[in-house]
Amino acid sequence: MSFLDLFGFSTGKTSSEKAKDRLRIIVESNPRSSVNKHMKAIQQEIFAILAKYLKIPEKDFSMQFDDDKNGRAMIELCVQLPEGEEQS
Amino acid sequence: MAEVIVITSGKGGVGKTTTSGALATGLAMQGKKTVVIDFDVGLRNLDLIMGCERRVVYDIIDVINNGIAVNQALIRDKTLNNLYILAASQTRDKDALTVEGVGKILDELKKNFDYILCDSPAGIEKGAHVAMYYADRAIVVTNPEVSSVRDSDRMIGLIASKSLRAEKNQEPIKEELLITRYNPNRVASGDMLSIDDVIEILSIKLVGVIPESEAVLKASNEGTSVIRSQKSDAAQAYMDTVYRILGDESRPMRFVKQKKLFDRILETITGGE
Repeated sequence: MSFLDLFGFSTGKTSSEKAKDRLRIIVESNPRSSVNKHMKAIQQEIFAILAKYLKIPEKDFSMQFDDDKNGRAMIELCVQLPEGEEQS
Repeated sequence: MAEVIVITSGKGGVGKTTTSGALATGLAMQGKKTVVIDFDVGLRNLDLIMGCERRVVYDIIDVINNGIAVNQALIRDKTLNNLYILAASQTRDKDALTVEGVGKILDELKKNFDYILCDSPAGIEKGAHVAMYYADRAIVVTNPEVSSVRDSDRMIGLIASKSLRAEKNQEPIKEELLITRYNPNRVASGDMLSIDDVIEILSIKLVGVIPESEAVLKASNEGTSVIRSQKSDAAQAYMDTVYRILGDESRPMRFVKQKKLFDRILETITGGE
């Protein structure tokens, strides 16, 4: 309680309220990648699309979810094409 | 089936090692065969907190690199015969710790133990990554303070994406919040973030709240886990957390309300005992 509070002068937010406001802004502007929630679904659906055109076993397909050097979420896809498949 | 629990935070000095020691001791007191592993290579602390610093013969790096069997490196607790500690190396640097090496150790330990606790170092570098990589459950230790909360938020994101479970598309690591150094009086006066504030920002399930307590320093001075000072508030709060880990999720949080003035005077007179 500050000196002013004793006389009924409101000094605005408490320090914990200010902390909470600051943290809310931080967390909202740096979201834990929402990619995480959908990782499994994204991976399965992309594989299904590739499988329509390429004969690849699931083990030759991998997806990495990472952060680039600026901290932005990044998806890296790796597909091992079966022998005989040429890039056109 | 053994459960691997990582105790992590991002922020340093929030109570990871104190928590790792307390939860491991508490689980052992409840009859579970438990091992707690120090992943802070180069700056080991768990051995001091558990009071076994003079009994460290082999450490985790000896097991990974030097052909020592895990069993040779495990240190049995002096009083609880189902509690074991695996110390970190004090002299090697952190690159000596490898994901593969740790994987082999955990495979071996899973054969014999009910709970394997991994005491993570601070930060988000290799040590912290290796400590969480194989976890089934993560306890994110957080102080009600801006730096700790922000770091915990970052750590929660990393746990979700950089674990073995994430890479193999399995059920994700179960992430839970442990608030430490909580002071209900300061929360009431508007100086400290409340439990609800922290949960609202981090959005993960709360597993426990440990009050700020003089018992923690006393316990580390003496080399026994704080959970052994059974009368203290911190000990009881840690024990409550152990019960919740074991499945009693309805256990209410204690030591979270501002104490009445009379109790505070009494506490000052009696010194917190």
